Amino acid sequence: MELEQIPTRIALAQPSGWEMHDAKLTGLDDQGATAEVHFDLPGQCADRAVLLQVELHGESTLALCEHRPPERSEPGLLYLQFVSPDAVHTGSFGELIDVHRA
Amino acid sequence: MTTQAATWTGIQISIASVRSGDEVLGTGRSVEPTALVIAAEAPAGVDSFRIGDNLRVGWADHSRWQHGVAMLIGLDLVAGNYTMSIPSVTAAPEVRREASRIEAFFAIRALSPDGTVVNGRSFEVSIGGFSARFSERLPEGTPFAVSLEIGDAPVAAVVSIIRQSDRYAHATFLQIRDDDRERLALALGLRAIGG
Repeated sequence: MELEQIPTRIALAQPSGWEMHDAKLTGLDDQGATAEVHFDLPGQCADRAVLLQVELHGESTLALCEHRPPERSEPGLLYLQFVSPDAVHTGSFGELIDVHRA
Repeated sequence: MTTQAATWTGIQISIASVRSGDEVLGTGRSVEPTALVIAAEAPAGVDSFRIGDNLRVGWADHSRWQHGVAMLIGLDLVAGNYTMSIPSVTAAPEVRREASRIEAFFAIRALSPDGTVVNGRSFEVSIGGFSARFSERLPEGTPFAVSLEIGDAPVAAVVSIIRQSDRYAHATFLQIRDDDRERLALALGLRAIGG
């Protein structure tokens, strides 16, 4: 199963609330994920809370992440670190991590 | 060994201080058969606990402290008496996290799983969760995101509703950034030293 095929949405916790955006999940491991998003990220979203929502087998799973871009980050990619790695080891994320690791 | 009594009905229980060998006894019931969350805030330094033999763990076992909150998820249980044991305390810092909910009025935006934003306002908050009134009912047993308007930047978290009546919801934090939890503690006037 290719990660890009998993329906993924990104929500940013802006002061006005959550804004949802469609995204492609491009990388995933125990600690976090990378996701490609189709919009220009505002500069202030660095090191901010980002909600990652994936749908697998018709079920939606959430993971709260921090956006932690490396020094040389690629435009259009969010670098997400799970704030509670243990919490994503069950359900869809756990299955996705296992599939992607295999 | 000390024993502290508490009532687990999906609400938070207070453990002001624990020592190795302490036990917490309580009565619990499942809100959803596969999505029970029992939150018990503990002082920093306690990193694990053991649930009693009379608890049947279901599809997932998150029976550990996480960010100062004990989470028991996916327990397949019915109303009854249960025991939570605390076999070890890793350190003895002079830290005490206040567990009681404090009257606090924050604007809250909840992102329902279908993408709908629901507005609300808290009336009681702790570092483990909040009670709030929302403009609409929210899904029970399904984690969803909230944003609490505190200061200059919102505190974002993934929560689960543990009780709901009419438009009053009682939620516990499942995922929250450590920095945000500390900021929340400061906003509530709670002492949070170290930890």
